[in-house]
Amino acid sequence: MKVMVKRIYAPAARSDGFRVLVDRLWPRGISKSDAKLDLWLPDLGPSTALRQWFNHDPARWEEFQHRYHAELKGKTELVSELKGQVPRGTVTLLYSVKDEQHNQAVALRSFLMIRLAAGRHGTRGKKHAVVVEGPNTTMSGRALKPVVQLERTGCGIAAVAAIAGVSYRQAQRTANQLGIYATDRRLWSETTYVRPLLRNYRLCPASTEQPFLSWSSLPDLALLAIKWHRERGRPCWHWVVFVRDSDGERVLDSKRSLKSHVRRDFGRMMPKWYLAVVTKR
Amino acid sequence: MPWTTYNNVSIPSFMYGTAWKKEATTGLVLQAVEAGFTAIDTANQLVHYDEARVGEALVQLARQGITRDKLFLQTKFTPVNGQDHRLPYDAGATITTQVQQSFASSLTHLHTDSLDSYVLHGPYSRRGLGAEDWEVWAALESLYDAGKTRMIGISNVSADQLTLLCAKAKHKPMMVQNRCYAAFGWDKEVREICRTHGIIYQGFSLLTANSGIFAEPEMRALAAKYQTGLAQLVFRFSQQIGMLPLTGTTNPQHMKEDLQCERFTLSSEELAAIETIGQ
Ligand SMILES: NC(=O)c1ccc[n+]([C@@H]2O[C@H](COP(=O)([O-])OP(=O)(O)OC[C@H]3O[C@@H](n4cnc5c(N)ncnc54)[C@H](OP(=O)(O)O)[C@@H]3O)[C@@H](O)[C@H]2O)c1
Repeated sequence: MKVMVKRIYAPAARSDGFRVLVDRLWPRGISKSDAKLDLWLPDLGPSTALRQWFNHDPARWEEFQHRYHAELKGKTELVSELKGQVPRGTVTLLYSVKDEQHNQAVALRSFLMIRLAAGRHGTRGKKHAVVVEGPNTTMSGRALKPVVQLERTGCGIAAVAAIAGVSYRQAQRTANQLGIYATDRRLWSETTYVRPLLRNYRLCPASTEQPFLSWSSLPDLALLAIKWHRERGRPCWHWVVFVRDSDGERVLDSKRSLKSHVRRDFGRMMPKWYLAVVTKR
Repeated sequence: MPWTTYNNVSIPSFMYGTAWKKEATTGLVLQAVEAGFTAIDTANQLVHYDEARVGEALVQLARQGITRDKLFLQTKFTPVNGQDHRLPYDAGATITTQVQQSFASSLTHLHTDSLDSYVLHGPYSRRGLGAEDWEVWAALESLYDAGKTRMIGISNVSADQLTLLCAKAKHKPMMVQNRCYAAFGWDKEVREICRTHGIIYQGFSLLTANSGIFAEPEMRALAAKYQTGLAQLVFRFSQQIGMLPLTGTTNPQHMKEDLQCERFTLSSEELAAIETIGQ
C-alpha cells in the first residue's frame, strides 16, 4: 500500500491506483471526465481561513501543517473514508496548485501515513503496518552502534536508526515515505513523529514520556531528550539513545562534530525526560 | 412523506447511514431510531461499516417493541475491489455465488429473513458495464424475483452506466445511491435519468461534499428566513427536488433537527437558486 501525491494536470496513469482530489474547489480548466477521479473529497481540504493564511508561503509551511492536521482530526468520517482505501492498494492524492512541495495533499499524506503507521486506521483485525524497510539484522544480542546524523536536524531519525540497526539513509528514506522529514520541527519538539517511525521498525515506544530522575532509574533502552530548551515558546531538544547492556550504560549521540558518538560523560548531559523503547520479538 | 418506488414499495423520506461508526454503531442506530428515523442504510463491508452491530441494535429494538416490520432495512453487496481481507464471501467463487454468500451473511448479521433494499455498492469499473456487472446485477435480480428483497438498486453509478443498466436489465434498479456535489448540479444527470425511469435517488455526502456553499450569502439568507440551520436547508432542498437524503450524524440533536426539516417548504425559485449555487 502506498500513498502518492500528484498534480491533477499531470496525465493520469494506471499506477496512480485510486485517484482522490483533495482540493476544496474544482480545479480550473479540467472537466469531470478528464480528471479521471475515483473520489473528490472537497471538505478534506484545509478551511478557507487556513488556506488564505498559508497563501503557499513556504515560511508558513510548518505551521500550516500543524494547523491543518488539527483540522483533520475533527473530520473523522472523511478521514476514515480515505484511510479505508489505503490498505487496498495505491492511493493518489491530487491537487491543483503549482507548488509541488508545500500543498495540502503533501500535508494530508503525512497525516495519513502517520496514522497508518501507528496502526490506527479504523479497521479491526490485522494491522497494516507500513513497513517500508525492515532492520537488516535482528536486534537480539546485537550491540547497538551509534549512527551519525547526516542532516542538521536529523537527530530523531538517527536515534531511531541506531536502535533499529539501520543506516541513517535507510531510516531517512523510511521516514520520508511516512511523510516525516528531518526539517519538520515536530521531529524534535514533539514525540508524534518519532513514534510511528519506531513502530515501523517493530519497536514499541512507551505510551508516555517520563521525567528523567537518575541514570540508574532509566530503562535498558530509551530515547532521551537532552539540551532541552524553549524556542519561540516551543520546547525543543536533541534526541539521543540511552542503552544499558553487558557493555554497561552509555549514550549514543548522533551529533556530527563529536569525537566519540558513544558517550559516558553523564554529568554533562542533563536529560529532561525519556521515552522507553521495547523491542518486539 | 414517504416515497414510492415504481414497483410500489414505500420508502421513508430520510435515511440514517451507518458508515464509519465502528464500535458506536449499535448505540447510534438506537439513538437514530429513537429520534425518529425508520430507514437504515448499511453494507456488508467491514472497511467502512459494521453490519453485525446494526443487527445488534435491531435485536434490542425488537425487544422494545420496534419490530423488524416497522423499519426499512437497506444493505449492500460490495465487490472484491471495495473490500479488504475481511471478505463476507469466497473470493474464488463465481460472482453469483459471492452475492448469494454475502446476502446470506447480511441476513444473519441483521437477524432477518428478508431485506427491504439490496444494493450493488458500485460497478466493477469506472466506465461502462462489463460482464462482471451484468453477472452481479442478474444475481441481484434473482434475489428480487425470489422475494428475498423488496427492491434492488445500485450505488456510485455514472449517468452512462445507469442508462445502460435501465436499457438492458430485466429489472431496472428501483433506487440509486450516489454522492452529491453541488458543483455538478447535485448529480443532475443521474437524477434526470432516475426521474425518467421512476427510480428513487438517494443522495449522500450532501454536507461533507458541499460545505463550500455554506459560505454563500444566499444560503445564509435562506437559513435565516426559515429559521433553520444550513444542514437542514440542504436536506430539505434535496427532498424537494425529489431526492432521498442520507445522514450519518453522530449527534442526537442533529438527528432530531434534520428530521424536522420537513417543517418548512422552499419556493420553486429558491430551489432553482440552490440547484445551481455551486456551479
Ligand atoms: N454508497 C456509498 O458508497 C456511500 C458512501 C458514503 C456514505 N454512504 C452512506 O451515507 C451515509 C451518510 O454519509 P455522508 O457522507 O453523507 O456523511 P455523514 O457521515 O453523515 O457525515 C456528516 C458530517 O456532517 C456533520 N454535521 C454537522 N451538522 C450536521 C447536521 N445538522 N446533520 C448531519 N450532520 C451534520 C456530522 O457531524 P456530527 O456527527 O457531529 O453531526 C458529520 O461529521 C453513510 O453513513 C452511509 O450510509 C454511502
